[in-house]
Amino acid sequence: MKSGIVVIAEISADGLTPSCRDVIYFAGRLAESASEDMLVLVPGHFPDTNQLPCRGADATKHEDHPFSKGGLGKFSYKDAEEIASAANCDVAVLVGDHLSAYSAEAWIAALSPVCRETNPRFICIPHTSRGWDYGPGLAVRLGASLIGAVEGFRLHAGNFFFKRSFLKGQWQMEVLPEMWPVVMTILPEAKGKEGAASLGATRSAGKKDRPPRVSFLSIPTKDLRTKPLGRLPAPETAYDFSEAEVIVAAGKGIGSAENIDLIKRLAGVFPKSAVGCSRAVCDLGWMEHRRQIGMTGRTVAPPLYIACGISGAMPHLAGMRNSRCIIAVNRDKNAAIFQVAHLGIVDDLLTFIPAVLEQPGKKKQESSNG
Amino acid sequence: MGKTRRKNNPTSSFLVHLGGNQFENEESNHSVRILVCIKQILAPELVELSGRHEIKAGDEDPCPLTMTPPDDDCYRLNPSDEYAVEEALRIREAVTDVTVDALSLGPKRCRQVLLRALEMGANNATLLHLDRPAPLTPFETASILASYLRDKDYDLILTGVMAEDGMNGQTGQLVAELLAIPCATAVISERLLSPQGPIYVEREEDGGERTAYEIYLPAVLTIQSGINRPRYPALSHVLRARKQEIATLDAASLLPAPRERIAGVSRTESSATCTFIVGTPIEKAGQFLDFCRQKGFLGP
Repeated sequence: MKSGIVVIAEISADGLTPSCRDVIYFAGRLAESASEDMLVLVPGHFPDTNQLPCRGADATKHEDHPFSKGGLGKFSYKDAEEIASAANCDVAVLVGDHLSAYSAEAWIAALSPVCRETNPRFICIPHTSRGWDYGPGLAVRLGASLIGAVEGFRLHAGNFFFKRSFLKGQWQMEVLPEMWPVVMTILPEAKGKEGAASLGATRSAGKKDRPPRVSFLSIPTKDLRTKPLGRLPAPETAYDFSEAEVIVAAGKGIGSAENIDLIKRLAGVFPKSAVGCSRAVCDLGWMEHRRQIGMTGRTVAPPLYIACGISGAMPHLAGMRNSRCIIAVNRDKNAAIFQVAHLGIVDDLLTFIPAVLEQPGKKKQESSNG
Repeated sequence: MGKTRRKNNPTSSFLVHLGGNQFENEESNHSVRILVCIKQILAPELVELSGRHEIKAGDEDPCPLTMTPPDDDCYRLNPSDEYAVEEALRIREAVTDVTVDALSLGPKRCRQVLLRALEMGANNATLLHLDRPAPLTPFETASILASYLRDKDYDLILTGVMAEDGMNGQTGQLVAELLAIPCATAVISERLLSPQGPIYVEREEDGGERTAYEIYLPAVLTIQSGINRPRYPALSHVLRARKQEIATLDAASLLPAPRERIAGVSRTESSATCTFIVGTPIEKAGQFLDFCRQKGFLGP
């Protein structure tokens, strides 16, 4: 089982996660540029492992096994086949009892021998709270180079340069790997809009002379020092943004807890509005955590999103970039939020919002956001 | 690191650990040693606003990224590392016989963040001294930290979830793997179940959901921002900290061969899709409302 590009899939109760589809798309483009085959690894668990025709990590492939229901969330043999045929790549499901619940230690232990055997040039992992939890450790164990939060790549004179942001997204760097393989965590949006969950977009990837295969690898149980205990729901019921046509979100740029009132009054200008905020605002205690929008908070996509004093670092963008229209207000014209905004206002919020509130002819509305 | 400690079996479901007293059935006199790894960063908002920094880009340079230091007040303790220091101090306050040490890597100016950790209440502080204009990659940082830590026998190593300047969020995981000990990132709650461990940990996942673990010690935890409210140092602590020595070790010999390098940096290009409204604040406000009205967001 050799392959130049390995994707490590992430699945949830609903099957393959959307961010993982994006990564498969990204990896497909990489595979095309590098003229390499692609292999998708799916670590998981099946309740009845004994019934699976697996014989250890170096087992031969079992293309025809219809695997049982349950385990792996709702991921099924059909899903594996769908990936294989749509993306025209092999899929290997890693089956092991200790893979039923996620832990970095279990994932690294299961994935590193398979990656070593596959001997890829690039290992692509979704840049999610799990991906960046185990990705770095996997890189060390493989003696690989490591690039995090990758947004894109460029092939120049035979070298792959990988693009990522730093300093709140205001600067970008190109990173050149010097060791192989390269472990990368890929930002979900790295697909570009046209990729939109379409695995088929990578159809031409690879150079296979046979149909893609789905196989199973049994992962032996290891003595682990991390014991998963279970999942807990988000501690507070998250605020329901789904009814809002307009979400007005506050960032650290609002300056103080007292100024949050301005945000609420701005939201009050719109009939169907809600107030949200960035993580920084929650961490400072200026607003409740349940209103947080971003990677560790809610993901929203309202018709209009107004970002006030939000710098636009990746974790926040992940939660709102699919809003239909984005207006950003920030006193720093270089703020990364303007990258995704349709309309930009470079001004101090404490000047701009009062100016809006004092405009004649704006419809007076009571704040509908509480 | 103390292998005998691993005999202690993590027990029972996570719910029972959410209440009750610390170490109910422990008679141990084992002291717990905690290390907090902290980073001094160039404050991102000063980079945005002051214009005093200078980032040089050039394709020929082995590492084109150098941040020319303006003055020392442009640097500060990375915010999530401050949460990590606070969390270590809270563990010390909840459990008897705990020491909290702070460690930083960089040039002499990094003594400033170590002093801050001492002022907050850390017992000892060590600077791994390395004066290099180009920023270190996470792997380089982690390799140096791990080389230093290999024989130090800490039970728990804490660090912040991510540095605001480099935005990598990898150093903790790399240190753990280099030391061959477990790691959990984005920790939003934790509790030592006995001095020998294990430690009960909740880590934050996408969407705010949490997953709970018991982890044998020694272990590395990267602390999520917002886990606590970092204290403001009391004056008595500030005065005491000024008298404390900050141990300094030369780290140049610990620098590994690079595994990846920064080949170029650039300002993020301004977006082609964003239209900027210009004018006086009143004019901007008017155009903003016109836009919203046209799109129908202001209601009928």
